[in-house]
Amino acid sequence: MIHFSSRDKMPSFALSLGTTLVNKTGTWRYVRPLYRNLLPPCQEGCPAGEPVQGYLDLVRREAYRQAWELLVQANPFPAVCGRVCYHPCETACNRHFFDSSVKIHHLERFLGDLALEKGWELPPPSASKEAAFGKEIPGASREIAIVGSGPAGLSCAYFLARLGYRLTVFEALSAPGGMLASGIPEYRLPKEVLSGEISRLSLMGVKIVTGARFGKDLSLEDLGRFQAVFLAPGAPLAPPLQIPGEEGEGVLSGLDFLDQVNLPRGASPLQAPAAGSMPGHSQVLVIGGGNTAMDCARSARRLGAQVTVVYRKTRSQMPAIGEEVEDALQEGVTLLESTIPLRILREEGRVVALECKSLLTGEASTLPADLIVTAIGQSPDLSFLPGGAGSLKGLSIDQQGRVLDEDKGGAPRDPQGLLLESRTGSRPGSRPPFFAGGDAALSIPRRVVDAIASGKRGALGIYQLLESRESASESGPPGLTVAEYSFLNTVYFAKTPPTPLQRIAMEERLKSFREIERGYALQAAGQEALRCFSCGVCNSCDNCWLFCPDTAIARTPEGYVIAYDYCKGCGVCVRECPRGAMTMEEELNSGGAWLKEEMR
Amino acid sequence: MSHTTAEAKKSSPLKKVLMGNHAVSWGARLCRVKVISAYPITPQTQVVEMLSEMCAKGELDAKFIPVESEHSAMAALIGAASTGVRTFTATSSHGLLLMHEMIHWAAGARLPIVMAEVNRAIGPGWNIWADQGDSLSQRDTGWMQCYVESNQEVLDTIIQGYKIAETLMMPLMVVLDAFYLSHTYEPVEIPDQSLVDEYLPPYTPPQILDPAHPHAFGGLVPPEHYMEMRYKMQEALERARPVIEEADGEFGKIFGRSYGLVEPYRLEDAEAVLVTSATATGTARTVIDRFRNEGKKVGLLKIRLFRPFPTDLIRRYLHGKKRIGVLDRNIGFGAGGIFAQEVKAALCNYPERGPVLDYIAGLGGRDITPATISAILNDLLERKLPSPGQLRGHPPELPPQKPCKPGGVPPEGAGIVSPDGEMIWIGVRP
Amino acid sequence: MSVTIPGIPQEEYCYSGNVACPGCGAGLAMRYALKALGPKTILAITASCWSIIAGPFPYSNLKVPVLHTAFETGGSVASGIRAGLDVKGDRETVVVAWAGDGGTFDIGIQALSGAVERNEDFIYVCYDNEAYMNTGIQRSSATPFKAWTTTTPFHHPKGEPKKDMMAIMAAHKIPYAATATLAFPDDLVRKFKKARAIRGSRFIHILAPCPPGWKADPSETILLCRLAVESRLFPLYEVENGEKWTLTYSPQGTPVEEYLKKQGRFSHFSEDDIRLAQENVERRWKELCRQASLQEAS
Repeated sequence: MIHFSSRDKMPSFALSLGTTLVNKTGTWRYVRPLYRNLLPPCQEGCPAGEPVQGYLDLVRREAYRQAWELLVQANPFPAVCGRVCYHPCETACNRHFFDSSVKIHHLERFLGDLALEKGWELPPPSASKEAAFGKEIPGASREIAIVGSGPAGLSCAYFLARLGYRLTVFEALSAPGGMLASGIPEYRLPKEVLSGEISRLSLMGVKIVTGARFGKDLSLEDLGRFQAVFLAPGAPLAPPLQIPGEEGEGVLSGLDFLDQVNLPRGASPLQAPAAGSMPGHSQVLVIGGGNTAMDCARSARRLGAQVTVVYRKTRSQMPAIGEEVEDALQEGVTLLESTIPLRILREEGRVVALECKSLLTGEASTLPADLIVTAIGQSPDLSFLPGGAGSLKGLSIDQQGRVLDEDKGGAPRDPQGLLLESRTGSRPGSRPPFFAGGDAALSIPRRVVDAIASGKRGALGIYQLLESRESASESGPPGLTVAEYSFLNTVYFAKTPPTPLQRIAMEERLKSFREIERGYALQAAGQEALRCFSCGVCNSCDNCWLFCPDTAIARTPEGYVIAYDYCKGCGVCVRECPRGAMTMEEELNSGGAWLKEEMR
Repeated sequence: MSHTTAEAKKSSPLKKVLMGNHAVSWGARLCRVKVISAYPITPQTQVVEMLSEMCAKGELDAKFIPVESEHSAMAALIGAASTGVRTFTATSSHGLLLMHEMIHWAAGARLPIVMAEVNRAIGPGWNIWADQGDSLSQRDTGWMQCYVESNQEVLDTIIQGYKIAETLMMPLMVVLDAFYLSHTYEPVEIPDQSLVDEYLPPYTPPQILDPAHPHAFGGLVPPEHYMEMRYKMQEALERARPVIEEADGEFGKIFGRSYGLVEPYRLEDAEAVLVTSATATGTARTVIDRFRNEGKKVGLLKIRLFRPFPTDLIRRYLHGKKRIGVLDRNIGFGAGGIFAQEVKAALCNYPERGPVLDYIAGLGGRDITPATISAILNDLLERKLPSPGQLRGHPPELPPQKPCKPGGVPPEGAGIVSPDGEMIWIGVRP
Repeated sequence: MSVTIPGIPQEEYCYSGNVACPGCGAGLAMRYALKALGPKTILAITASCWSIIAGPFPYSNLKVPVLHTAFETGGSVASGIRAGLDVKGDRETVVVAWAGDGGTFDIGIQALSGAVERNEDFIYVCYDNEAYMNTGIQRSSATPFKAWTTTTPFHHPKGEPKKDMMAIMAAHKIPYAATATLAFPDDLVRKFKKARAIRGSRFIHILAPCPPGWKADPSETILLCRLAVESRLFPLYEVENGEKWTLTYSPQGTPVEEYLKKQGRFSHFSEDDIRLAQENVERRWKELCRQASLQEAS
């Protein structure tokens, strides 16, 4: 404040000598604006909890490596998931209320592919300041065993490796990847993409031992030297159709069929798994409506066969990803809805037809068939357990991958007495704690990202157990409010169609197992990333700063700072925040209550 | 009338026969004013015309803004003066009244604007002739006012005006009678530019609108400061006498002419004194001389500086005078002639004072002739006046009053008629 | 969509601590204008809310020199400042007259008209809050048809339409005249920058909501500006030399009702009133489009 010690010190006319910064207009305020971070619905929708808004924002700023590093904090396999995930993030995306969802999975793939192309490596755990859960690296030389190298097992291995643990992954088959390797055809997931992302784990020091089947090549005792074990043996068993004629050649499970298509060439019962290897008149029937069914159908088309999918419900009820069904139909697959198989007809042992019944008309029909592929579900092979598959009965797995005892009202079991011990009656503490995840532990539908999430949960559970970190909320995602569409001020967004991926021509598609979609180029990625609303998360759009009538919001390297000394609480900034990342809060010590009355 | 001073610098001034309005223009030109903003009004127009001409010819390096009104003229000068340049305008009568708001503003903003004001009557009905009503209605705005008597004094006072205004940071009005000066040609000595430059250095105010040193001028002033600022204005004018005297004295040294704040004439043993201003003074001097020749002890006091009002000088020159008459070419309705009010106020708290009579004459350009002055002097000498202590401590009875009839003549005792039939009235009965 | 607005300078020329009401549009208008004009600017602020907003003696919230002046003197004082700068040889500094709608549409129109007729070299800004707000919401000739003010009470609202100030300015054939408002700061800044680069008289008409005077929520200041533009009630355009009319934003044509119903000063509007308001907007919009396209055709 300027005080004049005498009249002589005063100017002779109304001349300003100082600024209005002396005038603390913040005292007028009875409500104050605040920045808040809400949980974007995409992130909430992602089982792996990918910080979608964060990495899209970085893509927008062309900070691709940072974007990828942020992404792989939540999911080690962006190139894989960007291709095969059913992207619940996009279902949750608020943009679908506006025009159409952001193509998050395309961007995820873009970053995954870019990392592979550039050969980006993850920073070594010891150098990393931002380990997977934002925690200090334990630094302990603890060794953890993972059984199964599918997405769950590798995910668990990855997160534990990032926390500084030493990992050994045991894989029963000759190559790692589990269902990713054997169950997904190349036109959806090229082998080099998968191997590229898996090899990054090896670079992190994760040891993968193939050809080591638990219960056969690997005993319970062999695992005794580990500080913890994560079981992710998958669900490789296909249930039978339980119809006459099922036994014998010409009827394959979907998994076996895909196995033949996917695994090293030459070992196929179909003799020539390469594209076009099936005679054009071959009739393949696929029974089922899930992603496996679609993969089988589309693979068979590539092999040259005529394909019909027989499904007991309607198209809209199919568990397969919508785009997969659409693509299958485009590729000439016939879909027979609301139809159940009755029996398989054979001539001289060879499959010749399938007799079915329409659930709509009740009429029976006969479909000619050379090969019948069943894709009606999968179940885990728990024969390695001392008590067999039945030993899992009555147990479930919680958010941290801990095994819960449903007989005891879902109480977590003593981690030292998990699973195997409880069934073998061993003394607690004599064996390492066991955690479980992946298809073996999940309820259906079982999908890649769910498996990755369960591996992550297992890693967290192991970490918490070994490092005596008790609270789940301490490490888990904070309990944020989800940013609803109604929180947004959408006038700042222009309707923009999604950026499509380029696809190879239809006639080219069926000639090979080449991947049909080409990923985004940099420009397309940037363009699509711009479509992100950044729901509930400030992305420094400047609106609050720009619209403040009192110049009371400053931009700093750390973000916006509200000068509460001057903010009058008009609320323009909150109103004009496009993404609901600001809110108004009543002043507790409100000297402005009278004003509120007045305004009313 | 100027006093010629012996010490005048040697120079070869140009002598021209100029109308008063052109003397104004020449004064402004010699002061190297930088921005002129004016609007035409009779009887001021030649001032503006000549200045535009001077600017157009490049004789005067100034920007002339041909505004759309007097209000804008003064506003534009306020803007220009705030950037630190010397500014000038001229107006009259209704123009001055339209300016009134900005007249106050210029003073409050402490801008040393100099303006020539041609005294003209105010309508209705329309009257373009001499009358002091316009300038005197700006009495309390903070502007200094000089009432001049000759075209030479017009020119000289403009030059002195800038010196005074820029020293005190208060605006100044040079007031000249319509037609008697504005349109009357007189020989005028136009001083050397170099001497004027020596007398009047360039205008360099301490505070100007300058993006390099940004300040706000003239914003909201709350009660805790407003009064101090008004005090400072009053202080500037109250203590202005030495500044004005010095400016006048220095002018005399350089140019050989000075005028004083007031001018006494044959006051030494005068028993009755007539107080005058502006061109009526010249007429009055000749009548005073005649009365003196007749042995009547009369004298004259010309008031040149009306604002700040030279109270000290009024008291000194009217000390002990038994009869004081004030000639007013104006009327403050309901209170009488304005110069008279001022003289009365100046003497009010002064013990050695005589009664003051208030003669109103020459409104709306009616001539103030020797006969008019004679009638006033005779009345002043002869009128029966109440003597001090006559009421012996009792408050006066309220005199009976009848409302004036519409169109009526002044009530008996309030008016006198000059020998040539001109009406003079006494503003407030003694 | 990213909304980081290119072309909005970072520099601030308004200090906090101004005494505008919360959500004041006039305060924001100045902030944007000065961002565009930069430090070499001298303001002449006529009697208006801004005489108060800038702060009392001995303080000022502005980082540029200001001459506060009388109500009707925007055009004249700015002319004088310009003249002063010109004779000092300062051609770089821009002079801005800053007035409200009362000071522009009403009491100051004479000085403004005089100044722009002389093609005085300054930018005249009218921040229009559509009534005498500083004195407590009295009608001005900028007040919209049928709006409430304290001198046009609800039972006898204003019977005349808003004066078309832009048309008056265009009729003076000044080099540049433009409308702008706060929801479109990029447009506003661009126009100020364009105006700064032009010599002669420039006029910028800014619609600046007054939350108390409009009986509106202070947080909706920007929203109201946007609705005014999108409904075509306050189109964004510019007029060069009184001849070249150009729309600078293509409004969506949302119903005027959306704008009206946000403001208490229109709360007495009947359905007929709303319809009439809509019709008036459409008529004026057509006229504007005609002027813009005529120029395109020629």
